[in-house]
Amino acid sequence: MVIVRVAPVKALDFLLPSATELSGFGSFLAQPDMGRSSFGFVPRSSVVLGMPQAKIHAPASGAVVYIQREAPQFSSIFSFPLGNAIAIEHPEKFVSVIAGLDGSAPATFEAASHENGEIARVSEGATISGIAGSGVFAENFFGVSLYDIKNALWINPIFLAPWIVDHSAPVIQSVTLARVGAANGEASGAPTELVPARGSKDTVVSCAQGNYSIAVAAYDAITPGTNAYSAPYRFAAVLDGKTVLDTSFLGAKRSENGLSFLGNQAPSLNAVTSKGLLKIGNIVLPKGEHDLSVHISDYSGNVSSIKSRLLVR
Amino acid sequence: MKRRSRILILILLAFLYVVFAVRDTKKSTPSSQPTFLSFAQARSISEMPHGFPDRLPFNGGFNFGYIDIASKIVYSQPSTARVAIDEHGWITYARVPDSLELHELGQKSVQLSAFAYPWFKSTWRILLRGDQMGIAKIDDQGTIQWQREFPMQITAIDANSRYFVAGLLDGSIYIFDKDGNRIVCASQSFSTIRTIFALAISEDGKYIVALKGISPQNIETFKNEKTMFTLVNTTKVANASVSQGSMSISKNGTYAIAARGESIIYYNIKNNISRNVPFPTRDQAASSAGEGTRYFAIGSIGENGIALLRMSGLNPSTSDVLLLRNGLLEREWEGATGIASSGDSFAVLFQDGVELQ
Repeated sequence: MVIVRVAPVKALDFLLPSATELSGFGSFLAQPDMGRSSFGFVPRSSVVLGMPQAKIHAPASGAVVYIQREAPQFSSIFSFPLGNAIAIEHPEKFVSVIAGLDGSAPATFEAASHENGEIARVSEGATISGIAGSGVFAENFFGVSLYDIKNALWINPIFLAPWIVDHSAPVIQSVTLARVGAANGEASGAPTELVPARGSKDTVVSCAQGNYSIAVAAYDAITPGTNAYSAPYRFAAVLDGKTVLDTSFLGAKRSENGLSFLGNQAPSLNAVTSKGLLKIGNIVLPKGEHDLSVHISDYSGNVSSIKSRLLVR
Repeated sequence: MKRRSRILILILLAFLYVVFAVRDTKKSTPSSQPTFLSFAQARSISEMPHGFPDRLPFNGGFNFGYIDIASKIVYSQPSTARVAIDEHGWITYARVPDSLELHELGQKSVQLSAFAYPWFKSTWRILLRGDQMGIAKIDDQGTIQWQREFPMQITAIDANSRYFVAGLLDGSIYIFDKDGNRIVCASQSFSTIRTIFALAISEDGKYIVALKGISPQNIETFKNEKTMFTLVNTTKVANASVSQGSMSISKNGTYAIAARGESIIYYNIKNNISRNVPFPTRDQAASSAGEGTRYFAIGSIGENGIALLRMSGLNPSTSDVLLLRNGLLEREWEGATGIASSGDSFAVLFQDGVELQ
């Protein structure tokens, strides 16, 4: 591992390291096979990178402001889930957290800080080791997150990964409409699944007029051929040719109650339905016949859509 | 006659002074001989009768289980996974937590679906979410009673019988009561790095002490004033470090010990004075062969004692337990892996057994 003591750089130079697998920002923290009712079935505000080797390159230069070290195996000491991790303060009030490191990495930063009586600095591209994985991260997997202090926002770092080449569009598994109760603003009643319109009358979806919450189940394979999946980036709803909803995983806004995803209020649990679908927003459906399209796009601009004909009573 | 009485009184006072002065300065010795209970002769946890009052849960790393203090019997099983244990049961979990297994005493084990690590203390059963940004309080059956999310990563946690406390990377401190209600505590916007590196709440809930920030790095004391905790004292720490630490407050609430890496900080709560406590590594060879010595504050013992775990390298067999009283080293158990304590009882844990004190 290389620790470079350099004068602080004046601008953020964050570059998400090139990875062979990537679970993106907004994808669920808990594994899909753990069940939708599991604690942790919420969108993540970080990315998980699967690296070809047991090391990761520092995404940006900065000062190491927090070092977390896992207790040795078979110890009576509680270890925190991010395992061996560091937080780095970057120029322009950005902070990143890199987790799943090898125990030697934080120890080296710690020793460097003690020896010199100053905060260790890391330079962009410096190699940090992660031999056996730590915390909740499997071997060769690392968690990376980036926080914008000025805007109180966890930033989606996939936008800082120019190496991503994605030619496949997101896969839409389901899009549902659920009536929103007037009293509490919560979806009520059984959701209606949108059926793709094929031009015949029997594909019309019938529902009562009112305010509806749209929820989607969709994923995007940023790194095809791997088990890793990511949440799509952008979600839009078009009603009779007019965009009525447009939201994205650009970031997660902080609040006292946690994180706000896709325009839903914090905590992040509010962005997920009980069935494990992402709530992308509310629309109003007036009486009459309507065409409703939901467009879901990924970071490379690939789009998948579902179009339905609605008969609103 | 008067003069003779005065002389007698003076002699008596001098005698009493000598007796009590010697008692005060004499190094305290255990009131009774410690009893060693070997794991080789321990009973299985499944054999443990239910309902005995002096059941002391323990997790020594290599073994976990319960100690029947009155009968001096240990019930244990080897650790094949990570464990969180309390009087009523335990949860085993893997480092990558695909499932958690809840074992309630006298009941069948159940799987908990959670991407989290369990943390038990003082009747609290908490799941700490995998991203360190959420907690859930669970009951004995593993049912989530409430959950809370935080805007930044949790870097320090502690609890007493009434409150659960979490410190965050941004310097915020969140306090919750048993119903999940948030108790107001001095908070700040995240405009500068003021990370909570360690914190502890006193057993009576009167004080929260936090090790916070970088330059300067301070120990901050918050006092419980009916409905909120307010900052009452701040003192600068020498030799600031950015490493996550551990902290314990003595049961009588007079002082705290913060430990991180190779350094130990003593903090007198009442007088707002802190100082670094110098402790040499036991085994320089083991230290240099591994990752260096690391200290952990692992809990209070008796009224004014705090136990430290000293680990050298990656092998826990090179660990020791140290007992500090008022910041001064009183005893040392070579090769110990931890402690288990409850009220006035405590046991020192070893790889091959437990020593009842």
